[in-house]
Amino acid sequence: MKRSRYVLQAPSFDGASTIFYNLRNGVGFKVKSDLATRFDELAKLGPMERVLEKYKFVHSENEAQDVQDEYLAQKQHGQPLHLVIMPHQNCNFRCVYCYEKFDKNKMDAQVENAVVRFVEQRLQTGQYRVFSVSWFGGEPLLATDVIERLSIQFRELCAKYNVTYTATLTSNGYGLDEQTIDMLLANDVKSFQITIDGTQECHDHQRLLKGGQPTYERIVKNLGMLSTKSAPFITIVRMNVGADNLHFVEQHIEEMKQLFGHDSRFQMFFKNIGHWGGEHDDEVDICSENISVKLTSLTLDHEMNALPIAQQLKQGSTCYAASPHSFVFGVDGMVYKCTVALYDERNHVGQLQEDGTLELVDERMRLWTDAGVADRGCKECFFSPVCHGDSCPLVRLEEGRRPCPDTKKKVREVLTLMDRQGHPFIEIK
Amino acid sequence: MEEKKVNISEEQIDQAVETALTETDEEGSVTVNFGCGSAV
Repeated sequence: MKRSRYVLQAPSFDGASTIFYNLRNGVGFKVKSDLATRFDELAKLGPMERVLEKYKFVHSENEAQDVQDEYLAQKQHGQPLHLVIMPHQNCNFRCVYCYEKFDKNKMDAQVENAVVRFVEQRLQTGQYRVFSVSWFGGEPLLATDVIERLSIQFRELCAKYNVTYTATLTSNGYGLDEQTIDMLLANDVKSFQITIDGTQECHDHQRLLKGGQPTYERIVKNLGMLSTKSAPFITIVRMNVGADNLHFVEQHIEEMKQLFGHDSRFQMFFKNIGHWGGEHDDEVDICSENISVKLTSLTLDHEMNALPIAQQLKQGSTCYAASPHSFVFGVDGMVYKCTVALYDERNHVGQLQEDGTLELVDERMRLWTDAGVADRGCKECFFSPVCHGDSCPLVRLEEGRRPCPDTKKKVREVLTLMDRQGHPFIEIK
Repeated sequence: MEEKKVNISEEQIDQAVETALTETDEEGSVTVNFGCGSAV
């Protein structure tokens, strides 16, 4: 019995068991090491031979093609309608590493109405079960009135067409006062991503108001208010890590633990700062090593909550830009695929019309949606069920290389960390 | 060779797989990690 290329093996966190995990479907077994430490030994245990066949742990000649066919079918018909909406493209912050130019402002009423018409036209086709909105910017909370008006209409449309509505917000957190929090929670915002770049000193060095004033205290106060709300939501407390603030991470984790350690809805997440094209790129010191896995582990050492690392191994963890059902709407109705390359013409894939239709440049759309599956190397890769070559179409476009996620290189470490975070592997003992 | 006994039956595994996949789907259903090269 030959193991499928998608089945990986790693030690459990306590070292007493072996994890066998199938990237193709997310099924994982945690097997006591005195029973089996190898795949052929696992297959001989009780009913496991049949179980391993059933859950596709066994190699088949066509597995790479089957995985790609399943992805293509899902990409065509099974993905949600996803909109990244920028209700405001200016920002009250001037973070040192930011890549945006802030040459546009608030979404006008005409574009707002066109967005609603677009959504209705899409939902009435009956092809979507889920409609998901990501509020983004600029700083989206500079236009809370736009968010509220659009949210109310989206919820009405979803009720009308029997579609599940969900929303997330990426914000600097400065404008997240109680009234805004209540409005967002009432309008189905289920996930907040707020950035705190380390201790107060580090954060206030990197994330300043436009006039240079500090922002840490007010953001922390706002998050404290959010924590008093009983609604079900997740707050991702993101830290952008570079060489300057790396040494303060432990202190930061301890401070976040004191403030939010009692609330499991607050989960820490770490992201390497990159040279993202901002005007201060020369002054930004980046870390050469990807720190996400290491700092998630450090967060758990400090008994603070971290975003489940399992999300990085989820099937189809592709970038939204690769989905033909995902669009980024700018304040003037410009349609993008990616939220980073805002000034790259290849990312200007179309224009939202007043009547709600999209005038798209198909050739540019295909640059984002088709390149991953066209890559034969990605198709044959053991990591293909996770990213399908679509983890970051921008890297492929700009650098002409495969955008392999860092998780791929550290996949065994990630499996052990998943066990530490209590991932529901099926225990065999 | 004699089969080693384990703590769980095939039916129990089927049930556990269903539960585990539902749980992980819920965990991941609302999170979009945005911005600045979200994937790499």
